[in-house]
Amino acid sequence: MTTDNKLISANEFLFGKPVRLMKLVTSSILLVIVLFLIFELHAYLPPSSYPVPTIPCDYFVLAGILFYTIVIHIKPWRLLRYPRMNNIAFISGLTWEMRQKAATVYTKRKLFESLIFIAVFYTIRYGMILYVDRTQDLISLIIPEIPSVLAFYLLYLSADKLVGYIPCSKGEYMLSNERGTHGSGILRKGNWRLRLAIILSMAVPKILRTMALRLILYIIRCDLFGFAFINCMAVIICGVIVFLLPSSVGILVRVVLLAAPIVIFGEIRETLFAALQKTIDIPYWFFTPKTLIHTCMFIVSILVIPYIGLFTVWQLRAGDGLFSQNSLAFLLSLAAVAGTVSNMYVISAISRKDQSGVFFAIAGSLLLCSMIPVAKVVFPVLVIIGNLGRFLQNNTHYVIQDSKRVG
Amino acid sequence: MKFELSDLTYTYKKTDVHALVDVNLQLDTNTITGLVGANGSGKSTLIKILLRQIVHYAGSYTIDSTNVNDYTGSIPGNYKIGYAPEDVILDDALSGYEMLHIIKEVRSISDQDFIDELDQLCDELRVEDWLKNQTCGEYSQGMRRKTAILCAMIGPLNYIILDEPNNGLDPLAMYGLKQAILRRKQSGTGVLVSTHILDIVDKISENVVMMRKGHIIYDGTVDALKSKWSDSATLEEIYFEMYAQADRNDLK
Repeated sequence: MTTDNKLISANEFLFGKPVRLMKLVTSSILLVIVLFLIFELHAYLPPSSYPVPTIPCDYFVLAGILFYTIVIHIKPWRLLRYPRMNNIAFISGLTWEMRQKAATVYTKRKLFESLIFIAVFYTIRYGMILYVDRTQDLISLIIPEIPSVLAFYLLYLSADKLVGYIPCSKGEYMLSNERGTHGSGILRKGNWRLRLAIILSMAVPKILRTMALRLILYIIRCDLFGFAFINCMAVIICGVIVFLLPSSVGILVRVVLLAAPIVIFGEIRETLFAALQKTIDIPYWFFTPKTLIHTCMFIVSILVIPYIGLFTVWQLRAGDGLFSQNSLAFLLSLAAVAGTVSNMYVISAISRKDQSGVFFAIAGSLLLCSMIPVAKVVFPVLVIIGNLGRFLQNNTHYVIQDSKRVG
Repeated sequence: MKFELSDLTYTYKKTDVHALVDVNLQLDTNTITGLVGANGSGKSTLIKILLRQIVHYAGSYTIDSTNVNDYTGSIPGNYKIGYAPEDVILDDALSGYEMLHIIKEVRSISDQDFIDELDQLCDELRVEDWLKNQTCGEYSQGMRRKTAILCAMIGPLNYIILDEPNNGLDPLAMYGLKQAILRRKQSGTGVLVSTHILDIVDKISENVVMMRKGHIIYDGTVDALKSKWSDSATLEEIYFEMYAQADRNDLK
């Protein structure tokens, strides 16, 4: 097998087959129509009879694509920095260079998909503008969009450079060709990780501190840079969006501030799940299921705090007051997402694949419901009740399991 | 602390094989007990029952007169039992030192005691910098075994159960392990060592439990066993002879 063929099969094995162009265009058209239905048509409905969209779809798409580019980088990041989370037997057969190439191909493929989406989005958008407004001044409409599209195209062109910046470190240096230059022991001397984990675990109550220490240590060991980078970047991007958006688009701010933790939890849930699974397997310590869930909830709640802060700032800036129905809906939705992400980690009969599906289905529904007046309060409450019920069920399940194993 | 097993029988449901048959056994703290037997004689099953990994057995099992089946908490956690399984389970993402630090928190060991005890155990087992500098996923088989033994033995414990602790250990570490076990015994901790190396039992154990096909064929002190046979016979020879005798009885 030639190197190129090897690379193609490695890519297909790790990331799946590339989507056909026709399918890509069709799904983009469908997605754009759904987005327009949600945002543009919603804006045209009474009482705002004046046909000017109050929700800038451009901002939403650009914010969405910014998040998407971060999410795109998570997979190659994992492949390069923590290959054990992928198929270790397969990856150990690939050199560091091959893994880097596979990651670049994947990143480029995903950025290409988003470029197709942007093209479809703007085609439909300007088509609608031409059809509805009969404007002749199309050029002045297009010019402001050019810098953002160019910036995205540059991102696409420099995808391989971006992947090149991902360092090979951690304990996985044995799988790379860079032995000696990275991870050769310089960073791992001393106990800075332990000290950092001890300091961070101080944020949780004493009763949960040991479990928190264990989870934080696991996260630090798995991918400290990725974890910190994704969390900090998301908060910064959300902060920029909150400060840049006009005060008339509260609904968009709520969606963005809800979408960000969902994306982040989607990323860290697998690491946390792996940490919890391993915690239960190890026979030298014992943590009750309540401790496991409560610690997870605390860590998740801590990660959620910046978004509550940003939302509060937004509310104060928009003059909506802190205790509005929107605030209640936002906080309930955040609690529902946090509850779902914590609850998924209870070791139960559900397979890991199903857990992802359930989490994203609930998170997506919460996101959609956050735009519907009554549902934005009722649905999160239902999710919270469902989580409580599931927690009690899992608790019983765990006690039965515990009787068959070393605690 | 006292473990008491009375008329305990356990049968594998799938194969209907009797793993343990009418086992009567008492284990106390402050004694070192060797658990010996051929492969498949029921040693690991017995350990799993002691730790409540297996619950569906006939007969009774109590710890300090408390029926274990009625107890809902964690047996190793609440009764302060350290356990090193035969198949070493470590968290491959953490270093051994980080794992030990979590155990320190779980077992509420003070900083000074932790440092002192870890230093001593590391000296005995010949543990080096790798404990701090490498993750468990990078350890060799011997390093993993040593880390598992450290995890099982550190802290104030009432009882320590070591399942085949000698697997993968070098002779120096084996010697250190014996010293560590004797030291723990002096501080009042009971130790159960399941092993195929009869030399360990001969050198450090006061009691020995010999198992064959799920039955206990001998449970008593090593000295009493030796006195039944010729004085010059080693434990290995006695064990071999007892096994052969039992095989002959089976044939009859």
